[in-house]
Amino acid sequence: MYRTVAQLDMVMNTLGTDFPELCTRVEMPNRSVQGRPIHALRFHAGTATGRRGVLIVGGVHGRELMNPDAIVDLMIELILAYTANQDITLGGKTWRARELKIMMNTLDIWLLPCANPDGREHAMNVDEMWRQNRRDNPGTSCEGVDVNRNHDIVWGVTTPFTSCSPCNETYVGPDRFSEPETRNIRDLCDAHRIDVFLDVHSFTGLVLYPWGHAHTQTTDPTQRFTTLATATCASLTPPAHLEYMLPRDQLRFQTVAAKIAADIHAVNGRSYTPTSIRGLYAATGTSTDYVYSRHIADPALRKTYGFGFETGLPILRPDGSVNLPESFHPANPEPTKIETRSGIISLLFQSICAIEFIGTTLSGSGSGRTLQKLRDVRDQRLATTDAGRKLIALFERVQIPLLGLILADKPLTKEAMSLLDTSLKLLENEEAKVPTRELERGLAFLDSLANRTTSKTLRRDLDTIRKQVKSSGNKTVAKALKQLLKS
Amino acid sequence: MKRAKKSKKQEQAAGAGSRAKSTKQSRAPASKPERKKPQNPSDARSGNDHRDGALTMRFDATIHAPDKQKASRIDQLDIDRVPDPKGLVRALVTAADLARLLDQGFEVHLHHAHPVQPLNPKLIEKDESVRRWLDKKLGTKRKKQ
Repeated sequence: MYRTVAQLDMVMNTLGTDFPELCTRVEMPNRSVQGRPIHALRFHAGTATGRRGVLIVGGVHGRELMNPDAIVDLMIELILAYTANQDITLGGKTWRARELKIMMNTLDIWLLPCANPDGREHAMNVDEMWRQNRRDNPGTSCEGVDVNRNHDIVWGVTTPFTSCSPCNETYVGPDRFSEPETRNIRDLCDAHRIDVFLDVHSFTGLVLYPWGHAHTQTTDPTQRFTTLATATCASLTPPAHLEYMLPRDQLRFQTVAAKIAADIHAVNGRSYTPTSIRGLYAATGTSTDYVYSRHIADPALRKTYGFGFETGLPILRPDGSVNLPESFHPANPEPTKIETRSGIISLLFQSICAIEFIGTTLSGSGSGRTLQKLRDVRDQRLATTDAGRKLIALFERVQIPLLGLILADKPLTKEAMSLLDTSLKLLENEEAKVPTRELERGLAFLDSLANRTTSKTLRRDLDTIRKQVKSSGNKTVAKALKQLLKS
Repeated sequence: MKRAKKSKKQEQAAGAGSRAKSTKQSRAPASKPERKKPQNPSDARSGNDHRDGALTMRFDATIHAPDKQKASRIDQLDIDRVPDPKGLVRALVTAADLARLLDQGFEVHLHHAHPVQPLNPKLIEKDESVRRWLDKKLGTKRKKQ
């Protein structure tokens, strides 16, 4: 069953009214083409400031009916996790309430379930296969702009899946950001800190990331969309263009997408494939590319990691062909909806940076400048070798459970802040030796964490970290770092 | 799979197309400004035209190139592509699209017809059931806040 736009909004209104300490219903700056208000629910639990922001968008395409419902269901589950300590169990995957609460206290989460309400209403009441918004395209007898081709990233460059014809379902619109539904996403990114973005579509069982207009390469930084000769309503020039991406960013996209796919698979055993958008098809003006491109087009802007889902697998007819209506909006959407929620929660957890949270939000000791040193170690050194990348993956795996243990114990929280402060100071002078006293403090801290968990996996991971820390004894910081790249 | 050429479905499609065209012309409101000439040939097709009840049917089709020259152009076609698990060029096409593709020398295999229709009302929630669901989910928690 699917909810109408009014019903989706009624749920959000109730949640915003009844749980004001957890969430706020926010009207987007732009109404839809047909004048409908568009709402998001902003989760901002706890008191922490300086949080990372995550924006989850659904319902961009009218006929993809499952995703707005899935996002609204997730809102309820998050509220119950926070207020009633209810775990979220989705098929074979359980998300623990304790960790969900940490996540909600750590992040600023924007859920915009129905970005294109006109399209949804039209699909429900007139044409179940309707994709676009309801723009009246002047000079033609056709209606609709594809909201996910209207963003300012290589806008108007045509591909087999991006059209300049006002009668095509992938019509780019008369200008970049001509559509209010598209401008809402831009305006949210302009007005708020958005570090991670997800646009939820259907179908084909994919976890997507940039780039969409071209295949990706990581070796030639001069090959950028900013320097393309992009004539509007013509193909990409040059056709063989490969878009540059920082190796670290590509690794991050791939790692996060793979974890999301694993957390979706754990729900009911169905496999989603992580891939760049271009791996699916060539498209320009997409939201996922746009949000990630912003910091490249304007270096003053914060980097936003953009992801996309294509939820649900193709549903086949007995003759083996794809049943399109059933794939876009199946009679029983529940199996796909729970996969989608698991995928979104997975992304939310992976949007947390425990170090940033401890350093900036809790203690305030890690200024942007000093934390940047840690990011540089991660991106410019660890990410360059297999051993280093394994360490990054290990850290990203353990950070949420460890953060849970740390926040549950005040002395441990204090010690974590102090140790982070010490680490940042050590990085100021890499020729200095790692002091034995600090090394022992670090080891004792790791032991305390290991004693507080019953998870064998977490203990094993902590043991790996312990060995790394112990081996830095009697070494300079530089040598200790070098060793991490080899071990 | 059924090849479109000379198939019954294509005949129906062509019929739907001509009906659509005549409907559009006859029902255009007198006060409406004269339509501009389309900027490119693909603008002339019926596409997603819903005004005046013009579009009544779409077709789930795969498009095939009969030779290498056509194969190199197939990705440039202005059609509404949808994913295909086997990597075929699959699209939701209108009757006018069909005529155009056949004129251009492509083979079009029609798989299914999709009438333009609302979502099955049985799949749409009732307001009252959403309220009940929400009350059941949140009832006691709401009072605690």
